[in-house]
Amino acid sequence: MAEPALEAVGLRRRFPHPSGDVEVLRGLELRVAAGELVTVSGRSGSGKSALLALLCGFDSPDSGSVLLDGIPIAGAPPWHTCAVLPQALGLANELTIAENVALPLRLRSDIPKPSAKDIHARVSGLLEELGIGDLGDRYPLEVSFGQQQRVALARAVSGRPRVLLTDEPTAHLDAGSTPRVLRLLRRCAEEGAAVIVATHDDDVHRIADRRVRLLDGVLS
Amino acid sequence: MPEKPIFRLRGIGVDYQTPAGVVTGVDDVTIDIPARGITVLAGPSGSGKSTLLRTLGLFEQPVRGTISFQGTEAGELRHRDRRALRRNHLGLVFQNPTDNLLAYLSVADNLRAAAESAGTECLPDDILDQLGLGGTGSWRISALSGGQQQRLAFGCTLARRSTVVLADEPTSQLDEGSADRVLDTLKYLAGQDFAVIVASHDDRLIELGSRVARMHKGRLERLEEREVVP
Repeated sequence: MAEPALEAVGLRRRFPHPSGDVEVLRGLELRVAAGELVTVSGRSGSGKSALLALLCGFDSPDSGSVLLDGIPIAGAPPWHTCAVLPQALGLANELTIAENVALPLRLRSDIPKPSAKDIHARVSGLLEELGIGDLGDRYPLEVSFGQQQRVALARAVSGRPRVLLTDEPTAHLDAGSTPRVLRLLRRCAEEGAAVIVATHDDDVHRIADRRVRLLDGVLS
Repeated sequence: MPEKPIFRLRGIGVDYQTPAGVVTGVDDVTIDIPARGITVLAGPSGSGKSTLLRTLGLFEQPVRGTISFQGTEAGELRHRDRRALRRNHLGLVFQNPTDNLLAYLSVADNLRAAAESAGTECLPDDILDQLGLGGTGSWRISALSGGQQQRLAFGCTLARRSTVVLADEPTSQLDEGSADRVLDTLKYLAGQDFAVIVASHDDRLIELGSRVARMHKGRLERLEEREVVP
């Protein structure tokens, strides 16, 4: 395998529980190369979301480390480095859908800010691709949850992140929208992103380069 | 009140539909709110202070009375214009710290996103220094304490250059030390010429108010004005 873009080494994570702490991740190892799409399966509660939270730096492991391009992550990586589509979506409800999707492009401070025209082209292209091209001027709470989920995916990918982490990206979609999401995830990988998808959906597993299963706190 | 008020409310009434029928949350409230200083909406739970705050934030549509902001009648605005007014002028800080922030962005990027949402630009490090949060720009939100998250939410109103800062029980979920620092932040904002409006039953916060509107059963029971030592 090529040099991993994202690497999890010996991740352990324990959560408190009234009947005693639960160790959800027990020395988990994962390496994902640039351009690779990996799906993570596992029953509900197996720790898939906890794993994604560690991989994006949203949570800290009790031990072990996460490396992005060989460097341990510290703090919250910017969205153009590592973008997340969490189950909770986390859209900014006071921004229009187009403004939400444009955020990662506007927040980049390491390169000159793209022109308004380029931002518009990128945002409207993604919204069209996901079948919500007519919703750009609406607000998140004015559209269905399935549409919000596609907005959050468009936002996650708009900054062309090096690493894309998505949590059940097809969970709220109608049958017609799922292929659009799968095509976009696949294209992100082909454009060089390391893509990790936590999912129960067999349709998503079918587009994976590699499938891993989270069981008893480790991947198999 | 020598200066022109920023909000002018006349006979405001807000009702809620509940399974048990219509409940009145705010009843016949008439008040002018100044463009400077801290105005506290005080009262016990269920007194209508949070509903009144949400009405000022243009989240509630009164069924009776009129509300104007800087001379504009909010009731006559279309939905989109209300949103635009809220975005450009009103910074609302909710009770739960995490409701105010984008969890998957760094501290500095939350400030930048807030500025973007209002079409402004900001210098995150300067704002963080002003709020005693210097050095946390690269941190994730979950690495901040509840009190620090609340102060960052106020920082977002600075980044947006809001005209008004509205805060709902900003100290209710904090320990005493964290609450003290939130009070300092409110004083700082008031000193920066924001109109600060807070719904609270925290006595220490009420003491900061240059105007205190005492609410009871949805009605404005008493309005106290006083000199506050900066």
